[in-house]
Amino acid sequence: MTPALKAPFAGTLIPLEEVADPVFSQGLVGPGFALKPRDGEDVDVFSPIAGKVAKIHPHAFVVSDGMINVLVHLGLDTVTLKGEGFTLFAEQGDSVDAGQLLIRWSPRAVRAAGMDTTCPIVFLDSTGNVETLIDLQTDVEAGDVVARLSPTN
Amino acid sequence: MATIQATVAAAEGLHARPAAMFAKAVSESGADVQIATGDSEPVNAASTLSLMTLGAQCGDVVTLTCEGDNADNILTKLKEHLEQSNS
Repeated sequence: MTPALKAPFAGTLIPLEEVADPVFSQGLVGPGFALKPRDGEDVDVFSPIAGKVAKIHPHAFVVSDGMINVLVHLGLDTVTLKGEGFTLFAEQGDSVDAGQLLIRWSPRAVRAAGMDTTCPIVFLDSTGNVETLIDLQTDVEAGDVVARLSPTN
Repeated sequence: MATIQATVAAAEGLHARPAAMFAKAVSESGADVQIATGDSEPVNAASTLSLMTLGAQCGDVVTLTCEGDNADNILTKLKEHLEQSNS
């Protein structure tokens, strides 16, 4: 049984298919779901699992526990912001707990820049199925247990 | 063992989407392909996580290596993939 994922921030849970980016919505980056943050500034993003920070950018990070690799991508095409409006609280290689603060960002500023604030949350290098443990299209709080990966075979 | 060098064209480097698309192309080749940047240890090019961790930026030269009969053809195709700016 793989560890369950905690919501990295509060927002509305939506199916990955609804993400307005075909590479994510078709599952090419990996299976998963998406979280649409509430509007606001200074939104804290917490690690969804305990593990190691395999990669961290201002607008995206991957935490790996050796079995699962969870990518949290903050907004779409936000790489073009070059980190502006994002504050990092961890470095690549850090060991982190589930619920530990990793990034602070402003969905309001991202939206003001004309970008989509939807955050794909996907399992890299996996062909498993993602089971969402809370109904899609409903609101979750940061730290709520939201999904689990079921390996296929 | 075949080796080829390629320049990463994706504007954001081998980040989430380009990394996933390249990992998919490598997987579909069916070959065991390794990728390295100038000073790094080679990693599995079929892994999105490995590619993202490698962190090759736009304009970086990466080295692809592959074993097997069709290795040269496979690497030529993968080089083309990396050198397309919309990859």
